[in-house]
Amino acid sequence: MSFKKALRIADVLVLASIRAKRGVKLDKDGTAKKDQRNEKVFLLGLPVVSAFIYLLLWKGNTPVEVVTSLLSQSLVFLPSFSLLLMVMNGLMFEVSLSSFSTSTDIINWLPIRAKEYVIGSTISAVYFTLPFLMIIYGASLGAAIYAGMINVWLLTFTLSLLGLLIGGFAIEIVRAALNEASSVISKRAGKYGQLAQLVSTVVIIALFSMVFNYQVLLKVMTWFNITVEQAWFVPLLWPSLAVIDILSSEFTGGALYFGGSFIMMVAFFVLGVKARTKYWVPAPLTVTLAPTRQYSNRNGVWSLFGFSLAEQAIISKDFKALFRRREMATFLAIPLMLGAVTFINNDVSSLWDTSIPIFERLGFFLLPGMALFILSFYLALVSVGQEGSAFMNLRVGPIASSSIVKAKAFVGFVPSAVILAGILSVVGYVVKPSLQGMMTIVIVSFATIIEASLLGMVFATRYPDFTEVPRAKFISSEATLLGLKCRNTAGTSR
Amino acid sequence: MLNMAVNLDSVSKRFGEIRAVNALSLEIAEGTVYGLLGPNGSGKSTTMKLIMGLLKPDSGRITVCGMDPQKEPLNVKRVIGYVPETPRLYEFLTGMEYLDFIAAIHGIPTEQYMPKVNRFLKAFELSGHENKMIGGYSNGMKQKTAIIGALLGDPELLVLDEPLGGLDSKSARIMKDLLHTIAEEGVTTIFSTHVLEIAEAICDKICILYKGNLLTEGTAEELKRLSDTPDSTLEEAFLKLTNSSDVREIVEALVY
Ligand SMILES: Nc1ncnc2c1ncn2[C@@H]1O[C@H](COP(=O)(O)OP(=O)(O)O)[C@@H](O)[C@H]1O
Ligand SMILES: [Mg+2]
Repeated sequence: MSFKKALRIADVLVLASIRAKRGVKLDKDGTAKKDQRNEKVFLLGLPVVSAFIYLLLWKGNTPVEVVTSLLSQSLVFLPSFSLLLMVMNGLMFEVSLSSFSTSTDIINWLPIRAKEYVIGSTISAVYFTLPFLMIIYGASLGAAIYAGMINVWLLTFTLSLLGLLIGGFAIEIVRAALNEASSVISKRAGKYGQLAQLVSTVVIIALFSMVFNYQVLLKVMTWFNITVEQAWFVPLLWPSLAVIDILSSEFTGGALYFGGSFIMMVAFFVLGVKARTKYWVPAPLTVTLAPTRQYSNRNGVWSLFGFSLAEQAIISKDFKALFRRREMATFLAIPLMLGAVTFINNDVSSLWDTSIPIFERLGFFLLPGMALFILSFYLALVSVGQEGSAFMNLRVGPIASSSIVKAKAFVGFVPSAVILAGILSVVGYVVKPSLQGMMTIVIVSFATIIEASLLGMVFATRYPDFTEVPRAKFISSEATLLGLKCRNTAGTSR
Repeated sequence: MLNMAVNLDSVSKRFGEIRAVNALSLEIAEGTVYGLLGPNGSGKSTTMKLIMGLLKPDSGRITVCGMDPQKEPLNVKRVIGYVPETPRLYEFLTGMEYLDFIAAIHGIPTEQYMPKVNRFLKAFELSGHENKMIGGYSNGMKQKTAIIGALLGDPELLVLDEPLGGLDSKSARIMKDLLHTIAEEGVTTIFSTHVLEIAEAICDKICILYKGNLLTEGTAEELKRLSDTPDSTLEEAFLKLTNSSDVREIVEALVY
């Protein structure tokens, strides 16, 4: 076991991941630049944010009791949150892997021990999770200095780092098991295995993005503080339970949970190594699909909309891409995420409450509606770039660009339209607006998502990015920024 | 007089400083298997892309089956089957779904192409793999799938950019027979390679490209005869034809 080797592995994994996400920037002499954003946030996060929060509280002359109460809740939550974030990040990494083989495959044919890999992989995961947490730790540190709870904060910080490691090792187990499970599933179940994979991927991504919604986070934190003590038997929660005991000066219990957490961390490490030894890093799979239908490229559903044979072929190919390519799951997660946030942040029963003005009740659907706008926009936006170098197949075929654009805009429109139809029927049955009102809503909402997919197409055709090394990018980052700006303007002016 | 499938009249294409194709003139008769032979970077792929209409020539005229690829891109693409140097297929489709897609792009209904596909799958020993995701194919399998795709639209002209690169020797042999069979039906093939033996074995007519320039053109026999030692190899022929060490280098590069 060589720690140096583990560090080198971490280095490679970090680099692969950064380049996959942000692409490679080159220096003037052509060598790849080192991207050090994470290091900067990591180093500056704690001092800058804590000083800022402290000054904020001090300037506002905030009563110490107010700070103490919220701070205590946060401190209890922090270790578990660190663990959770680590697990989420790990799962995200797993699901966002491109369907193209990734550079981390080399692990399979180099002389590396499972121990070294697990440590390296965990360090690389910490590298991506810790900077964000440093900002949060910084905020709590500022508050802790203000409230004179610096000792408790230090203990919490240590426990959070323990939680981070537990999460990191846990995810190693989960990933090894997941790979094994998914390869078994895909081999046996073909299409259904793929569907299961898609659904779980979409759910994971949706959950992950919800972690960053502060309203949701606040709700979860409050709920966590109320219930966590009843769940003392869940080892993953021990770091948080240690903080609770320390806060209420029960130091024996605190020490026990602290020690337990440490043992947990070691145990998870051992298990992680065992799992990796057993399953190792997955090799890419070959998926076989049973042909469920007779191949017939004529008179598909889409011909009803007046599309030519070639256009229909593009449409059904792009739908297959939407449901089969892992990269696309991110987009499908958008409506799920914003839908869930809507349900968490609003009282559903108010929909039926006729004493509330109709207009306010319709507000419930604002966020889901926005999600559909974003979905259509993004699906159209990535529609050209997602072809990658396979775009050649269309370029050499006897098909006009206008047909390609038409087909792709349609693919951007349909998923949102289907969900929108569902939402509109709920609006019709539950909120019961006047007929005229309903008509207006239907027309405006459909027009909006058509507009979204056309807007997306404008950028998609103007700035496609066919790069797919090491991961498909679909659209240049400048265009994404531009697109976001337009989306926001369009979204607010609606 | 033979009908010409492809005509290049003093065509040039440069990329910045590089003259990828330099005042190139070619006449390719219908039903020929025509070989573009040259080391890497000699302009073979660029010539093919110009013929496909994927690149616009800086000067000169290109005629493909009587049409200008820049003026009638769709009609030209309709009559050409093209396999690029490294075919990129849709990895998330199965082989069969991919072929179905290509057929639809060419507007060919299923009944029409299905028997053909099954025949080709069998010939290339892909049967049994057609319902697997292309992402799991080997490079050779991808290449074969791309070749089948190019043949689906009953092309008048096949443009194959180094198609034997990923093929095993058996499939290469099948390819050769196939090209000659369809040549008898009047299908023209343009075929690029950097390996001399392959050009000699497969092509009716060979032209040698170097740095975008046409060095010489003819049948393998003609090229040999030109060097007045009839039973010499093509390699020796070239060496005799020109005394320049430059060419010697090229030819050496061509035989690996
Ligand atoms: N898109 C391009 N941009 C710049 N240079 C290119 C491009 N395509 C080809 N070239 C250059 O043109 C020359 C001929 O290339 P190519 O036609 O691919 O040769 P071959 O197929 O014979 O190996 C090479 O020097 C190559 O570097
Ligand atoms: Mg080439």
